[in-house]
Amino acid sequence: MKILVVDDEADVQPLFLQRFRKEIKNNEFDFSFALSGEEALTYLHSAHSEVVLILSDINMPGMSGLELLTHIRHDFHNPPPPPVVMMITAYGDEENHRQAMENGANDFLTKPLDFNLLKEKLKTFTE
Amino acid sequence: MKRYVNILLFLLMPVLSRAQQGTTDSLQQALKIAKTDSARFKAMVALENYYAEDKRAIAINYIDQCLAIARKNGKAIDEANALDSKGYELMHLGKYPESFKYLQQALAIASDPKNEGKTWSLDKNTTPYKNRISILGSIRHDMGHLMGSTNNVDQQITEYREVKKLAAAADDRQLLGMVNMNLGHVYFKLNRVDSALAFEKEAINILNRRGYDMYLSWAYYITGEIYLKKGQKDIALQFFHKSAVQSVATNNVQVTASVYSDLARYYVSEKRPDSSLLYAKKTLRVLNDMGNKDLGDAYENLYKSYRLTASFDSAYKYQGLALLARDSSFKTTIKNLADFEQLSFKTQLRLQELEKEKAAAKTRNTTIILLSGIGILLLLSIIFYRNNRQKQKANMVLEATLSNLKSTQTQLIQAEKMASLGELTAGIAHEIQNPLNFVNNFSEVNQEMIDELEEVLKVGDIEDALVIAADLKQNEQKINHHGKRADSIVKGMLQHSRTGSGEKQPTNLNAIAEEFLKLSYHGLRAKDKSFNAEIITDFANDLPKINVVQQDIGRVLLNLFNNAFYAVNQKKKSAGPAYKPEITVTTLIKNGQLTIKVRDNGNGIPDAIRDKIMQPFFTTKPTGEGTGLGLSLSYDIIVKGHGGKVSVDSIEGNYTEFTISIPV
Repeated sequence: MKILVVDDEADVQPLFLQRFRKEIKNNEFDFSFALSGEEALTYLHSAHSEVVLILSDINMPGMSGLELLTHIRHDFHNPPPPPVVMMITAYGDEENHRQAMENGANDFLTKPLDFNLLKEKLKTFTE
Repeated sequence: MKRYVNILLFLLMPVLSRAQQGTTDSLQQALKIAKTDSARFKAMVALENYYAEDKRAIAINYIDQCLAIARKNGKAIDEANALDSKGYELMHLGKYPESFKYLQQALAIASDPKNEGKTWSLDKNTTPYKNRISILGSIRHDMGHLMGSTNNVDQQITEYREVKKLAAAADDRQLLGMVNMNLGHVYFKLNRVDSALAFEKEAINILNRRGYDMYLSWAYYITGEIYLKKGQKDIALQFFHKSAVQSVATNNVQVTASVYSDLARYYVSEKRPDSSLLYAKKTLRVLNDMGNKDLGDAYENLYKSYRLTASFDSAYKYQGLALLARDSSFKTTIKNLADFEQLSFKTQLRLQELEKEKAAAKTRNTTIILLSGIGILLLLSIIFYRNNRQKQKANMVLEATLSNLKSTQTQLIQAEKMASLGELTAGIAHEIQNPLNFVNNFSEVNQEMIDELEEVLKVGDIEDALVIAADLKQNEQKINHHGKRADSIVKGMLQHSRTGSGEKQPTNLNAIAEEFLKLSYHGLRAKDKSFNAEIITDFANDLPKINVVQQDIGRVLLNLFNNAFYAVNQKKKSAGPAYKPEITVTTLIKNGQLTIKVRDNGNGIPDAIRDKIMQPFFTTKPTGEGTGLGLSLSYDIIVKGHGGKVSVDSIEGNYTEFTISIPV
C-alpha cells in the first residue's frame, strides 16, 4: 500500500521509516514524502493512481493541509477508490476538526502521534 | 522690568503685555533715533517688556543687549535687573539650571549696597536704597518661582516671605500685592485653605486700586478656587464672576480662560449642562483668540457637557480632541522631566565645584581670617551654609524625581516586553512541542531496535547488527539535535523576558531572523487559526557574524514580524479572496552595512501618521491591544544601542517595508 506523508518537518521521514520498518520490510507499506502541500500535489499528479492513503499535517507554511485536502477532493476524480486522507495537527481543536471533516477528510489525528494507534488505523483501511 | 505673576502656577501663556499692543513700532522708532546709551537702554527695556511673555527668544535678545550696555556703563543695578529678566525667561523655557545661575548673579549684585544708585531708571518718588531693595525683592520673587517649578515648595515659601519684607521696606505696593497672591496660591495647593485665604484677602486689599489692578483678577480667581475647595459654592461663584469681569476689563485673557474653564467644570459637576456648555464654549473661544494650544481642559468640559445632554456624537468628537490635546501636553511633561535629569546632573557638578572652592577658600583665607577677624568668617560660613543647603535641598528633590522617572520608564519597558512575551507563548509552546515529539519518538524507536539488536546478536548475525547499530547512531543524533533545538527555544524565551543590558556577542543574524519569524508566525496562528501567509526568506549566504545584543535584536525583529503579520491579517479581513498575504524577509551586506528588510503586502502606512510611528505610545491598534512602545523601543535599540538606522517605506494600500541596517 502506497502512503504519502506530507509534513514540513524533514525529520518526519526517517521517523516514519523507522517506526514502520517491519511493515516496510514485509512490503505491507510503501512510504513517499512531501515537504509542502504544493509538492504533494505535484507528486499526486504524477503518481496519483498508486497512492492509496495520504497523511497530511495541517499547519504548514504556504498551502495548508486543509487547502491540500480541498484540492485532492476536487482535482482528482479518477477511477476509484479515491485516496483516504487523514489530517494531523498540533492544534487539536474543534474548529480544525470540523473543517477537516467538512472538506472530506477520512480521519483526524493530533500530535504527538500515537504510532501504535496509527498502525491499527492504517491496517483497518487496507483491509 | 516688572514681572510679577508666577505664571507657572497657572498656565504658560502670554498675558502681561497685551495692554501695550501697538506700541512696538513707536518703540522700535525710539530705539533707532536714540543717541545716548541711556535712551537706547530704556527703549530696549520697554521692548523686552513687550515681548517678555509671548516671544521669549526676542525678549532674551533685547535682554542681552541691555546687559551689555549696562555693563559698559557700570550701571550695576540695571545689570542685576537684566540678569533677573534673563533668569525669568530661561525658567519659562524650562532651562532651570541656567535660570538658577543668572538669578544668583543678579542676587549677588543687588545684595551689595555699594551698587545703590548705579542705574538709569531711578524714579523721582523713590530713593537709591528703596530702588535697590525693590530690585532685590523682584529677583527673590523670581527665585521663589524657580523653586516652585522645581517642586521645592519649602524654599519657595521662604523666598516669598523674604520678598514680603523687602517689598514693605521698598514701599513697592505692586510687588507686595503679587507676593501675597502667590503665597496664597502655594498654601492653597498645600491644602492649607485658611492661610491661603488670608493671603489672598491681603493681596486683594493691596491690588484693588487703579494702577495696581492689572493682576487683581488672578487674586479673585484664586480666592474663588479656595472657596470652592471649602465647599462655599455661592461665594466661590461670586469671586469667579468678579474675576471674569476684572480680567476682561484689564485684558488679562489667560485669567478669563481659566475662570471660564473652572465655571464649566463646576456646572458639569452640578449636572447643569446648559451653563457648563456655555462656559466651555467661551473658554475655547478665548483660548483660540489667544492662540493658546493647551485646549485639553476646554475639550474635556465640552465632551462632559455633551454627555450630560446625551448628545453622544458631539461628546465623542470632543472626547477624541481632549485625548489628542492631553497627549501633546503629556509629551511636554516628558520633555520637562528630561530637563530635570539634566538639572540634577548640573546641580551635582556645581555642588562639587562649590566643595572644591570651599576647600581652597579655607586654606587661602587662614591669614585673612587672622587679619579680618571672626566676623567675616562667620559671614562667609553663613553664606556658604545657606547656598549649600539650598542646593542640597534642590538636588534631593530632583534626584527623587529622577529616580521616580527612571523606575516608571523601566516598568513601561518591562510591560512592553511582557506583552510581546504573552503574544509569543502559544507560538513557543508549538515550537517546543515539535522537537519534543521527535525526541520521544526516536527514543521509543531506539528501545525497540535495541531489543532487535539483542536478538540478531544471539543468532550471531553480525551484518544485521551493524545495520541496526548504524540506525541507532543516526537516531541518537536526531534525539540530540531536537533536544538542542528545544533548549535554544527555551533559552531564547528567557532572554526575551530578561531585564538589564545584555552584552554584545558575535551573532548569526540569519539564524535569529529565522527563529523569531517562526515564533511570530506560530504565535499568530495560535490566536487565529484561519490565518495563513506566504513567508519568503531571501537570506544572504555570506553574512558574517556581527556583534549585537542578541535578545535586543531578537526583540526588534519579533516586533517587525508581528507588525507585518498583523498588517496582512488586517488586510485579509477586508480584501477579497484573491488577496494572498505575503511576508518577505531579506538579509544582505552592502557598503559595510548589514541590512535586514521586512516587507509585507498589507494595508501600508498612511502618510499622515508616517512621522509618528516611532513615537512612544503611538499605536493604531484598538485600546488594550498594543502598548505603542514596540517600534519606539526598536528604534532605540537599533539607533542608540547599535549605531544603526531604521527606515520605513510604504505605499498606502500596497505594502510596508521596514529596513534596519547595522554597521558591520
